[in-house]
Amino acid sequence: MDTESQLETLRQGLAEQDYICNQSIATTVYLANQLNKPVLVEGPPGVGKTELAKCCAGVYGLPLIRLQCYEGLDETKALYEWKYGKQLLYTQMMKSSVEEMLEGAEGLAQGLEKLQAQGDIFFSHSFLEPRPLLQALKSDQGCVLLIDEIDKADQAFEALLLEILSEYQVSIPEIGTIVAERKPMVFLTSNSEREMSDALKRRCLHLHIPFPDAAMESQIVRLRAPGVEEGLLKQLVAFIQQLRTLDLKKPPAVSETIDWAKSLLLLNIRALDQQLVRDTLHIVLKYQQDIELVASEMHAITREAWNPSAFRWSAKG
Amino acid sequence: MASSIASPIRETFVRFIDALRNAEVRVSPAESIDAFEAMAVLGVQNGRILRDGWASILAKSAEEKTLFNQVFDRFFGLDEPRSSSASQASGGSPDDGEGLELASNLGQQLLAENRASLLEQIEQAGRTVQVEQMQFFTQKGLYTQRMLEIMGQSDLKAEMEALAAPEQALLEGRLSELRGQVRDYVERQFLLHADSTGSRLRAELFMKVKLAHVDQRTIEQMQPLVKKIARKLVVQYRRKPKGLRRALNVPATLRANMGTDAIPFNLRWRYRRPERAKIFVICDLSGSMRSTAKFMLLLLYSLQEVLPQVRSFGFSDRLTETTEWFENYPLEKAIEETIAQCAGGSTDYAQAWQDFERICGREVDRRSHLIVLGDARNNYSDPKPELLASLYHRCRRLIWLNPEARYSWFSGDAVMKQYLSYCHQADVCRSLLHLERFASRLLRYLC
Repeated sequence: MDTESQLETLRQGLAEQDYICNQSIATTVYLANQLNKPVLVEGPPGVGKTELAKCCAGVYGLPLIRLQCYEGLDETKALYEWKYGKQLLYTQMMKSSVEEMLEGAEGLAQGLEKLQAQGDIFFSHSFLEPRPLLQALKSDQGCVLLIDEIDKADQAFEALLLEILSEYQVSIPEIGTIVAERKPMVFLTSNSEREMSDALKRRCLHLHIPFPDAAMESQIVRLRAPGVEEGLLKQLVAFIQQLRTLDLKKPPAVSETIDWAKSLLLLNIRALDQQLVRDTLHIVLKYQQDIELVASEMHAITREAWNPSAFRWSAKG
Repeated sequence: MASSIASPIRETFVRFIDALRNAEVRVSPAESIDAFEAMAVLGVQNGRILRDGWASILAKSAEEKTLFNQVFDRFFGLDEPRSSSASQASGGSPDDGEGLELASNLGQQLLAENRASLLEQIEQAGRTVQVEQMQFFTQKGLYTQRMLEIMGQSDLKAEMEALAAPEQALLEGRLSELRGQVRDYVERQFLLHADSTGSRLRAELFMKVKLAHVDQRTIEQMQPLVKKIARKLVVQYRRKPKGLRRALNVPATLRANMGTDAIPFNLRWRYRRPERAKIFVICDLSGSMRSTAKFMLLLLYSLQEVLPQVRSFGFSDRLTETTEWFENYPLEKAIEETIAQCAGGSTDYAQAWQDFERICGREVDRRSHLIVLGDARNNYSDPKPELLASLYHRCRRLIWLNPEARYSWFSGDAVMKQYLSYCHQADVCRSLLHLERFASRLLRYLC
């Protein structure tokens, strides 16, 4: 199959998982799959970065392993930890076997030799508690690893990720190097609160998901909030698109559009007018100053957005 | 997989990466290797798919993606110039040259009006003259001429002499069209490969020129450079490190080691928070110092993000605080205002120290950094170094920046010798390069 048909199949697969995407997203995901490279997804909050990883897991039929990043995330929470309690417990319980083993040893040196001949039993895989990153490397059928909001973690954590992202292996001092048998598909999402380091960017494919245009947004809402009438859908999308052109503290994203559509469906509203918009504005805008700004300019915004020449606007039924 | 790709494709790819780097898209060798492999995966049939795939590998930020799209369209001719419409507009059809036999290759091609093969010939000629080596816009005419020569223009011209008038006119028309196409091609290659070389050289020159000697026009051209330096420094010093390690943080250590029964395998420390520094900039605004002072203030105020508290003062015979002008007016206007108000008198350093002491002597403490920008020429009046000494003992650091070279620090009416013992650091500062070095050392010291 040539590339175009492969990409078409991928887009349809994602659409079946309820994810509408444009050509460049599909190309990047396809490329990441073929080249075994991680994908760094950047964009404003709410455009579907985390959704992309989840839907890819659905399309490729792989389990999803998720690691949520925060300030102060370190190795023990992300990579692995030793089961200290278990180690201590086993040492206590197996005291008698240790005594048996040391029988016949004369003096400290011989006893030590006998112990060391047993190897590092208490530092083996059964005492290792794998955390998301190590789980992803050890999974035998492959998986999708989602490292969410990597810009919230600090520089030290990024340095930790470098080896995993380029070679898909991790070195544990006591055991050795663990190499992934089936390389996981890695997605890193970022809200661009801070710049990623160049070393991390170099190892990843970079994908920027912007706010969608009107046609794509309508498609998304049709899929995610089925049952919304066409007329209402057009009004919704036009209004949201107009809101994004304003200078708001947090412009509404796709998730807000979907929430609004679902709420209007629940409230049994067939068409929008200025008062209804004012009443339901808090679903779309999350900051009081934004709500006040939009409420004061409501007339101008609705006139611009619901321009009768663009489409038909039916009165509330 | 990648080695099966033919070598001309490889060469074109390398030229494309070159053009990208020229447009200030930073492509590392590893990324270019990845892009080459991606070409094998995606195939070269569909330009849009290839563009999307390469954009994710080669352009790693929003600005780089815009630049990448521009360079891609330009390089692969997707922003096609109007040559296709021009050939229709010139009139004449392929049948006009019916019956005309020409010996030269170029003549035959022009008669046949085979666009595709003509374009191929142009590209071939471009590769032969190595048009990507072009560096300056003044070379465009030269390369155009050379390419036309390689394509056989002189032979064709010789042949055309022997022809009758109408046929000559026809060929002349087609030849000038061809010249237009070659010019467009050279222009495109120039934009791809050479455009930024000129500006890079200019930037290097600007960094080294002596600030005292620049004229007004040059100052305007250098301001974006200062902003670029400021941006680079801001990005570098924006992340604040934790600070110095101090004592063991016992509660945190115990909490972290609960798993090991409170045996402290992992230690947790207390960190000293870096203190907020206060910066005082004192600028000598006598004639020769003005440009240097302008650039210094421009740089320091562009670093607002990493140097929040900068108080500035200007003096000639009296010292005045200029901070509020910088807070209220845009940068350029504030600098003008400063110079208008403070400059003009005959320099008196002793008076400057006295005024400074009066205005904010109380706020100079262990957290303050004083930066003095001056040539220490006091017009043979009493320098009163003891005033500077008292400031020196109270502040954290006193840095003196002198725009003159070191050998003239002690000549004439300069009192640098007396002031030198009361400076923690004294440097020459006469070009943008020195300013940048000074700013980066300052930030490194503060963070």
